[in-house]
Amino acid sequence: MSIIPWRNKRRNESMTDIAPAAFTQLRQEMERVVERFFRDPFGMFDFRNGVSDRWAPAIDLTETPEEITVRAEIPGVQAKDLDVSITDDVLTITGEKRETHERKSAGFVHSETRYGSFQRRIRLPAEVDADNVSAEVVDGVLTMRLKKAPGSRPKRIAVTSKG
Amino acid sequence: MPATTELSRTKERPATRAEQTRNGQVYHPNVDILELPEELLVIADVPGARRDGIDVRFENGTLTIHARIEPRQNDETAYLMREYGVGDFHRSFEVSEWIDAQRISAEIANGVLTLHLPKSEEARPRKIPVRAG
Repeated sequence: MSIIPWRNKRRNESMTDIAPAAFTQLRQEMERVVERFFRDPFGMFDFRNGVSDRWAPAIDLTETPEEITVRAEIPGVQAKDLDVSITDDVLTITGEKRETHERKSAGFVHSETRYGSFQRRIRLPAEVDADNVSAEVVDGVLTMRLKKAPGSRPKRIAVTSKG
Repeated sequence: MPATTELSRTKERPATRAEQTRNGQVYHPNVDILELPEELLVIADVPGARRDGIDVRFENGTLTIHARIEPRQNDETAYLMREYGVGDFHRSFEVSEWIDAQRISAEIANGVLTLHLPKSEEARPRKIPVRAG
């Protein structure tokens, strides 16, 4: 990709550099939709807000016998603009990526990132202790650690033999 | 129970692989390029990157960003959901002669890398004084 000030670019070239960016975005969006469908056709597990102009951060989810870890990549989102809540076994992450004043005032050359508010709701694989959750943002990555409720932790059952 | 999900392509992989010292996937960061009167801004999403892991180079008219990302999980981790991959970010840009390469600067906050590319003297807007005839 080349970085040429807009005015000069317009004089020298056609819009070829701009148009494909729009197509790329559309294509990525469509790929996401298709992929989401095959991943989760009934939307039972993850009900991300449809395919609008909204964005939603990508997440990963891992678990150990004691806790569940959820990480989301949220570059540019500040901790004060994030809200995390748990209702039953559904974790809801809401937030907003604010536009900088430079972005508002600038003449655009090229844009690939998404701004605005988002919400993601994730059904957790086990019941968690809502009072025992930590959430922190470091370098644009949100990490949440959720301790499983005592009843959801695996219990070792002793197996005995007779005879 | 959720099924293990496929790695999504929210982060695009570069066509050419960057020089690597570690195993793992390298990703193209998403960028915005903004034009302001005095400078261009290249704003790259590099979640997980720390200041000491960022390498910005300018060589032969090419500006290259490399952000080293530490793994967040070990290789054996079984993911219940995995929508993004974790790996270094790498991307390069051709920079026109309208940019004053000597004065390029960079800063990082909240996983967003901002490069300031000041326009050269000729490329800046100029106010032409009008004299009375």
